[in-house]
Amino acid sequence: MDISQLKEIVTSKEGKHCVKFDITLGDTNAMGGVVYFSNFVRWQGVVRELIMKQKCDFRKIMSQPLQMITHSCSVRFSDHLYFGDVVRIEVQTKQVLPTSFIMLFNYFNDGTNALVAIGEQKITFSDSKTGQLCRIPEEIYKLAKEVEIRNE
Amino acid sequence: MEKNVYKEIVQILAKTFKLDPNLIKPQALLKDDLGLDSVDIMDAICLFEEQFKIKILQDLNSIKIPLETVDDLNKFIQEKSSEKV
Repeated sequence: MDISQLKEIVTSKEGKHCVKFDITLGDTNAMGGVVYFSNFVRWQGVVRELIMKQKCDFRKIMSQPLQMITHSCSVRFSDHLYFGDVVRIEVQTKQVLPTSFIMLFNYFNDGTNALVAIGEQKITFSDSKTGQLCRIPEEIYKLAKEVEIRNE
Repeated sequence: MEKNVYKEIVQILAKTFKLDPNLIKPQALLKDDLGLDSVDIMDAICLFEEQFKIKILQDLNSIKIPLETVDDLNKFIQEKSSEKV
């Protein structure tokens, strides 16, 4: 996915950030087959940063002596996506703590509304001068809290 | 007072990391016994700062007590709380 494929980022009433985009040949494994598995992980990175860029002043935040660290990430697959499909990724968070939070990604085929994969990643921040873990920047903390799932 | 601090530490650890409070013994190792990693421990320290209204993060590099067990955490919080007074 590149920015030109992005259809929209909306925050639903149910408290989810939703991102839609078209699958292109470049996303598939070869000759227009299924979407290559690692793209689902790559999309997590793209989507999280697009949301942060749209919903807060991400550039300003990242211009501070700060590093965003991906502590862990995973994807579990239940179906394929193909060239020409539109994927919808719904993003929520859980366990929003002072220095870390978990982002949850539900991947849907937007045409059929089938859930094709679920993923999650844990993010933390460090001070790039000292290397010490630090508190989540306030704007990002608020953003994460907006879509937090509680009492899972 | 000291017992209350310890009790609150156990409550925070249990609630935040969904741990069985019975497993949180003074000599329990934060990493090996409770399964916490460095990010979890940092989250816990921030929560202790908020709960006990103390400043820890600014002194993090000068911590003399190794924070390996629940009791280490307890002693450290007690020490910081007494500095505050």
